Amino acid sequence: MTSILISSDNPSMGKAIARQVGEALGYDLVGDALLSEVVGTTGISKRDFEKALGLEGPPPRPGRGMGAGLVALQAALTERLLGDNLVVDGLGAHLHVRGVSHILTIRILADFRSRAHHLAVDRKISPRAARRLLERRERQIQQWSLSVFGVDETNPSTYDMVINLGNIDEERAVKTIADTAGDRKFVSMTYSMKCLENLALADRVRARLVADFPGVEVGAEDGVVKLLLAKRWFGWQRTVETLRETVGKVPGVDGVEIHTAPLTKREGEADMTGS
Amino acid sequence: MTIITISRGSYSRGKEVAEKTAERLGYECFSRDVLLEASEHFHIPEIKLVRAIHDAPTLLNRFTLNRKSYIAYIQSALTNHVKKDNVVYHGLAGHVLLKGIDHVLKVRIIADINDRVAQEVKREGGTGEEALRRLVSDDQERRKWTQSLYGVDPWDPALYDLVIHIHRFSADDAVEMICAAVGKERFKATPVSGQRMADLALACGVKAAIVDAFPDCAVACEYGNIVIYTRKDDRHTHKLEQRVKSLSSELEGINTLEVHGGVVPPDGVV
Repeated sequence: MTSILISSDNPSMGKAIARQVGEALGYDLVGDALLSEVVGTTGISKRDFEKALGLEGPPPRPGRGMGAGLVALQAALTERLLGDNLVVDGLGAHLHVRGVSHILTIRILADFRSRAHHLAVDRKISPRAARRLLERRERQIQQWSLSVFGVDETNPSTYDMVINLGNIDEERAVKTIADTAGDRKFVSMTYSMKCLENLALADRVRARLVADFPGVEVGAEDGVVKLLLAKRWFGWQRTVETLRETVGKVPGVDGVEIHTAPLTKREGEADMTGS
Repeated sequence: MTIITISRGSYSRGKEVAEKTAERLGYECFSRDVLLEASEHFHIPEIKLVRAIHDAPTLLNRFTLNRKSYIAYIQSALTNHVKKDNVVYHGLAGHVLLKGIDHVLKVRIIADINDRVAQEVKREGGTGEEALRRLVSDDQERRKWTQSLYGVDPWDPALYDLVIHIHRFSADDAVEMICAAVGKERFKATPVSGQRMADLALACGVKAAIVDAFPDCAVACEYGNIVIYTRKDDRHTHKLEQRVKSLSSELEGINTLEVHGGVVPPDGVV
């Protein structure tokens, strides 16, 4: 019982590998269908989601509207991951779901030269210009992933394994991933499931709050939700009551703790005296 | 018939992975031996070679003749060693020194920084902070070295066929994955890739023989036919031609030797 997150610098190649891994293991594939569901519920276009996930065009700066879309997608994703035995194709899952030991994260790299060649042919530009374009895009993706998720997507340490399809063929890559997923260390355990449940709960709460309280940081542990607000503002007491009431209605929430921190402080340095 | 290069940082357990892989496949495993061979063959103290490939060059000595020569010697020793195939090399820069050879499986082993710090503290003592500083500095030295000499970032995963993060995976898991990957036809030596390896070894041998006197020349080899490129003028080219005449008798496998003066060397030459 495990789940596999597959991402790639070439989304169509990542999709093909994810589909084949799913078929090999008999796992459900989570990808486009989930995105379509979230598109339906949020009203944000699929194209905007693809842009926000760095799949099309230069990755945008995270704005409030798109932030809400991403939060909704993450909530839907972690909810689905609680089901186990899934292969997730992209969706930024590898950047969001971290520290869950039964989830295997794989990065698939397409051959750089062949990508540059295809880009040069598609856009009718020189191979050198195509290479520069790809390199620039990689830098943008790196900045975007760091600013939105605090994780460098281009750093191999982000993944359990990186497979370069320049020399390793798809069939071997699929077999390697499928064999690895069968390893006992990727079997879900009570603790790893608890970590995932905590993340899913935090995501549910974040999705509920993002429209009215976009700046609130959310964490969860054993049903207790911890909210971290950047600062106290006018009407604080009423805000606290509203937050308690709103969060208390989210399924799975047993308690709410609200903490504050000055804007310059980070989460670990927060004033944890509570309110 | 395959060559496996394993790139690793300190305390990444890459050495253990290399040794176990070699044992499992019945391959030869080597690293420092290349330096010893280069040291013996070219009569250079091993410590000078170690410094040339370990310490990142400063701005002043980045292009010094000695460093260029030492690296040419090491590359010559390495290509000469691996051309017999069925080897696992886990020394520095195998993935760049053996660039362009199809039957080389390039693997990078990375480890969790906290695990590495714990290992460093256990071995060298001191605090975790000091250990972290030492590891970061060592990583940066290695990174700068590869960047300055070859213009590539060794941390770029695109340089490798497989990057394995030793954290949740054990060294044995990594061995398993490498052995499975190497079993594919793609990494078996073919007559063409074998010839390319022999040509690379020969080109590196020629470069090592002339680098002291002609540090700016570049060497290409195809089917034993050597072409030496130099950007310098006619007088320089003439001197080079004189030196080159004696090479056929010094190195085995050379069919023809040509010198092209005033030419910008193409990509892929050594």
